Amino acid sequence: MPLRQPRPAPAAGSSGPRDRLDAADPAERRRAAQALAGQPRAVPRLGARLAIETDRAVRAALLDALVAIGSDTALGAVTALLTAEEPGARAAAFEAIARIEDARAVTLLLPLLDDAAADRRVHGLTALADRRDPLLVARLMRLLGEETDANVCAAAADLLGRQGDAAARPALLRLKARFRAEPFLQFATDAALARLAEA
Amino acid sequence: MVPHTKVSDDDFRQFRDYFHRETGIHFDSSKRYFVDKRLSERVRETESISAKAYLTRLAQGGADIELQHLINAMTVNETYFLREEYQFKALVESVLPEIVARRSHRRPIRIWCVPSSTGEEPYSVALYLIERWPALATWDVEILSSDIDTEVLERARIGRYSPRSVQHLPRAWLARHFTRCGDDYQLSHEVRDAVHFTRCNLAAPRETRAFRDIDVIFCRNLLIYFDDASRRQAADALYDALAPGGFVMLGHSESMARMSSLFRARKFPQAIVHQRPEDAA
Amino acid sequence: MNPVLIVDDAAVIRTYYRTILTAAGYPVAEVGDGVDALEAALQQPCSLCIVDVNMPRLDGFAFLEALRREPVDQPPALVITTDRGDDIAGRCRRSGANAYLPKPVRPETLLAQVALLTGGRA
Repeated sequence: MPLRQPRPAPAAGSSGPRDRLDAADPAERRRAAQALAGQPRAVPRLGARLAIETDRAVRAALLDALVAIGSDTALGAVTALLTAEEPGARAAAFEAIARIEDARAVTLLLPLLDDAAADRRVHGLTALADRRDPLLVARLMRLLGEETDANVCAAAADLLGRQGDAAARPALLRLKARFRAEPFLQFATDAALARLAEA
Repeated sequence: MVPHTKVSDDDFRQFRDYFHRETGIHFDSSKRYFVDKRLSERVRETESISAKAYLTRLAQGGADIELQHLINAMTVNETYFLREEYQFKALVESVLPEIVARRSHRRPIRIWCVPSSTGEEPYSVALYLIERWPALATWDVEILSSDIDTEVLERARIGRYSPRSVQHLPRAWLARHFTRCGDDYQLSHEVRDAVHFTRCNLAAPRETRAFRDIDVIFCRNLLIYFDDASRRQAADALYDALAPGGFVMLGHSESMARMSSLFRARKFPQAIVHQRPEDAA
Repeated sequence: MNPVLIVDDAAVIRTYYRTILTAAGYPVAEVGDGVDALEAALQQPCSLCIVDVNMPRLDGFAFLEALRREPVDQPPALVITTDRGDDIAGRCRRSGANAYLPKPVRPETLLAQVALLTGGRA
């Protein structure tokens, strides 16, 4: 019967200095990214590759390496991926950002709330969900007063309901009045107000 | 009678953190009774004056042999032949047919069982292939099996099993592949030689790196002991060990969806199995 | 009737859809990303998937593409997203969605679309 003992382990497994981030083989690119996880000087190369990488597993390894290095430029490259065209790239960015500690994530993500595209403001708020930070609460209050996009407002109201206190109530009530004709906004602000009342 | 060594709350926390660092395996307080029992055995065995003294010595490092003993004591695993049989069915009726259908060259099929435990699982794979997969006549198959515990690996190589361990095997399989040995059953040379056993710690990237181009991994009821970070790391190691398009079989109560976003769930008549996508673009 | 599977990472949006659908008599199930959605849809048949695009771990399009390759009774899928690209409807279709609505969605629009896709009322 052809059940047989394996031959000696294939050499392909070991990662070597020759693994390259621009190799044609995704397995080689992934190994290269994993090998660079502890090397702050590799951030520009990791970030450049991340911007164009299309293989999910390589992208995940690049993001892991950048989060592990953890410098401002490394994490900046991670959050920059939120503005990628491809939803798959954004999904990977959301997942990686979840592993960045609150205060740093907030600092990195707040500028996205000023982006000209409403889509990107929503993505910024999505990535900020469940972050606890006083800076964030202040920014959300300001946003509720000026923002015109209904989806951005709903996401901001939801976040504020989770983190704010009684001081957030008037802003939420004004928002509710402003979007009287929009059922989802009514629902989201009511939910946020109910949460504040419980807190 | 030897007095029972007292394990304080402090000792437990120290053990828990140390063991987690070394192995990725996390014991929460619900496992307290089990941990206390095994830990006091090691304290006695090493003639340490207290659990604290024992743990301090371990933490200082250089006690690799004792660490291995401790690992062996903490990872005892009761298992039996054909446990969760629907997965072996899925292997021969769905997974392997898909793998051979898309394979253009005759590279051997590689199956990796981790943890190996006392060998019931890798040998169940071997027996299932022999008995239930006719294509074995034309395909070479390599079965690798690994465990962090060297003692169970030794027992696996010997291949001697209690009646309870073999009770779910069909009588005809028992007759063909085992001989009676007192109360126990001795597995044949042919089947034992078909499995290659090695020590490997799934939480240590250096050790898992040797495993590549695997087509099917059985990793059942191990990752439930890991915490989130170790689980993610282990899932990465499994992903890297698999060939593109390869499959991983987890325990009945485990879900790859919770551990990693790299795999895709696939539906087969017998089970949902997680796959490393062939093309990850 | 099999449940309507709601796939969206925002809990407030899932609750909004669930409130509307349960009031109209539809059973619902919900998950927060594409990976969990695929697992859920393979484990239990559903009568419809309502799918967001932007989610952590696995986006809505990738989820639908993976689901459409699997040998299960294929539920219809409705994509509801903030994405507004020129070709958003085309992208939805190519990923295996049967309909697309922009966010935010009004209850009567949602119910009409759900009734259409599930072949009648709950």
